[in-house]
Amino acid sequence: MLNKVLIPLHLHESKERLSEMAEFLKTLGTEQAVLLHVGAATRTAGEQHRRRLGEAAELLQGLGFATETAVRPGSVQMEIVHAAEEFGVQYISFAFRRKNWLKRAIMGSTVKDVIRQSDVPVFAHKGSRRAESDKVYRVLYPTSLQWKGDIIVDYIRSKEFQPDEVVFLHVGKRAPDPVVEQQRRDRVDEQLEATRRQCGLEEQESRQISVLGSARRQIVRIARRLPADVVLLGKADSTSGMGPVLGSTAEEVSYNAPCSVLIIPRDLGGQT
Amino acid sequence: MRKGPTVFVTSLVLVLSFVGLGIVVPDQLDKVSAALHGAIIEHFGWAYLLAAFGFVLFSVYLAFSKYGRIKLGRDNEKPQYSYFSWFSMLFAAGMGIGLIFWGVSEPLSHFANPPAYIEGGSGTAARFAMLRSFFHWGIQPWAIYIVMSLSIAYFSFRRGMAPLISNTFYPLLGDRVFGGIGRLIDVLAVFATVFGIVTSLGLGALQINGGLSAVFGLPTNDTMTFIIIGVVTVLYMISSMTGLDTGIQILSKTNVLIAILLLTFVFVVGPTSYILDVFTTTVGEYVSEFVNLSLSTNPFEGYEWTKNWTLFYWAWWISWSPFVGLFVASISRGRTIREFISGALLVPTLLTFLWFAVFGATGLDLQLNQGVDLAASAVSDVTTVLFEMFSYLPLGSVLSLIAVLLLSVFFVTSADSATFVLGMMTSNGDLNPPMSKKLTWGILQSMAAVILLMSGGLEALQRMAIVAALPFTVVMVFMVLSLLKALRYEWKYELQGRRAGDRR
Repeated sequence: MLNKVLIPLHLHESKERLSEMAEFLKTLGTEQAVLLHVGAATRTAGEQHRRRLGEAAELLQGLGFATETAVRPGSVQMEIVHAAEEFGVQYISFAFRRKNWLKRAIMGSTVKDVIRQSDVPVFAHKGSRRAESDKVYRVLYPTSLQWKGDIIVDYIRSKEFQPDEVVFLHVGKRAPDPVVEQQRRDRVDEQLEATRRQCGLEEQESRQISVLGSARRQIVRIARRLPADVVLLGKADSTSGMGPVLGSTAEEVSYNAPCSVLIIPRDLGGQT
Repeated sequence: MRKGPTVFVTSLVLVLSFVGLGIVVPDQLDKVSAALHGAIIEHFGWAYLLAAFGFVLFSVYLAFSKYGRIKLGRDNEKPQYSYFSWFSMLFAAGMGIGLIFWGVSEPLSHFANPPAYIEGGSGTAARFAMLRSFFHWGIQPWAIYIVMSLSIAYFSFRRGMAPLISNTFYPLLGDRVFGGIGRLIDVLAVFATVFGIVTSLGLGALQINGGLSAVFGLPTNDTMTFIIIGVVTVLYMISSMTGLDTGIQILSKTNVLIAILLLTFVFVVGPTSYILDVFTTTVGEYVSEFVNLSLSTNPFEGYEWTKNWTLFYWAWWISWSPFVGLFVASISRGRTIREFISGALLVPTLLTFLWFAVFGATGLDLQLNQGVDLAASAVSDVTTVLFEMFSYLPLGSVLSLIAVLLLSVFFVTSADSATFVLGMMTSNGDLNPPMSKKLTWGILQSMAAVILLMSGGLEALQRMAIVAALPFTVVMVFMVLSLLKALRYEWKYELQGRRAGDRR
């Protein structure tokens, strides 16, 4: 399911960060990695890039990955998306680095752009606690409960993930009156319970949280409060209202969440 | 969920305290209210303009949006009142007595005392006077009322909650509307309503006194005013006891019929073509300058004038809105949002424009073309200028008598509706409030009007009503957000689902 990954590198990445991410990716069942750098196409620069990519590839091989490398000139996010398609990877993984708001406002965010354009899952790695055996490995799954046959359920059920606890989160809108609001709450509880059963989880392996408000804020808040290790979030291509201006929930959560985030396009699953 | 007697007791104590202050220390109350009122109008005038314009945009948007089809009631429900009854009650509650009061005197007053950059008594001043009168009584007041009444009607008739202002915030506050915040909002609404209606009663009584003096030569003094308030109180208490379906409805229809009769008569015997000229010109200017008028506080020149008139009016309409909003909501069950907005926005506005065109233009014609200095009277005593104008028209005494009758009936209707609304607000939104509550508020508002007229605290109370308008503006902005949230929810999760089900 997550066997082959594309790792975009900007070549200033520290070995420690790369190695930490790679170790985490191994726990997801990843065995092959394509290392990609998008940069200037001059001969000198190209040599330098290949050399650095070679060093990164060696590091990953040392951890048991089969690797390929590629250097591409052009628009960073476009090339990443094209390469993902070309190499047939199952997902793209970034060693996430947070920019300050000014830098982000002026230069944008490659991760967010890739999330918007990519047809394969995108993983934003922000450090890992999975290796620390004394702590609970907790996955947060925010669901709008509008999707049936959700692809994310398959990820949770897969043998690679194996979280200690899955927290099902629904962020809803308050109904206009108390009677309908109570009905909505009851319905949400039922649906979250059904999703839990669909994931094949026992009660002690999961928790259900239903809150009101803005999804993008609440997901980040709950991820921080739990704390979660990974947020598994679906992405729908269609946005409405202020979506095109504010960005999708997936883009915002991937940027603001305190933990790693795996964004999975809904098109991978079935929408009914 | 009920809120107990907290709102009733708290608002009663608060109102009695303020009235008590008006009796015991009228000068201090006057100073404090003047300082508060002055500061609010000085620093937040722009907020009133922006909010009122926003409410206009919101109303228009809702009327034309997909939400316009949503009914203020169950899907198969029919309107409770006929169009004529509905418009009559809308008009009587929303404008009524004020329109009679200001129909002639406002255009003449602006004509005599325009902002400094316009020469008083000039043709430009006349044009300005008509345009501003249209503006002050036009679309904005009704948009303000629509926001309030639409929210209340939607949450009570569509969503099954009690018709209380606090309940319109359920989508934002959830169950907190049944706690302290909700009670605070309801008490604030009672506060603004009582102060608004007491002021209106006091001023209305003064004008009826002026009319009686003009027609029958009766003295204009406190005793007469108190007698008028006493008689009117008995009348509206009787009407209020009979309830919405009989008393208020019959009175409102009578009002509108008399108003149309008076309007038609003055139109026919007055300077007809001049009136039509003024009407056409002013409507044209109103339409073409609407945005400019709506957003201009005139900070560079004429700000004082804007403060004294436009900003005062906007604050006044907002402070009136809990009362009119609740009342209009209670008579609008079964109408769609589109029907409600277009009806409440256009029909009363058109009638108001006609009223100002007929009465204002007749007054200006006497002033500009007949050499009668009505403007001086409008400046010195706004209560008698209408009757003075009638004295220059055929059957002047009959017209004055009809106007006194109209004023009295409007007076009774306003007080009657206010009693009903106050009873409702302090009985957890009961659409048939208990007699005891109606009696309490009815007697209290009349007594307060008498006492404050006597002590000179009426203006102070009016200013307090306007002070209450500032927090209410904020409340109304959130009310818009809350209503939008609820409509979106209903459309997305209930109506679309139902339609999909129907298709299957």
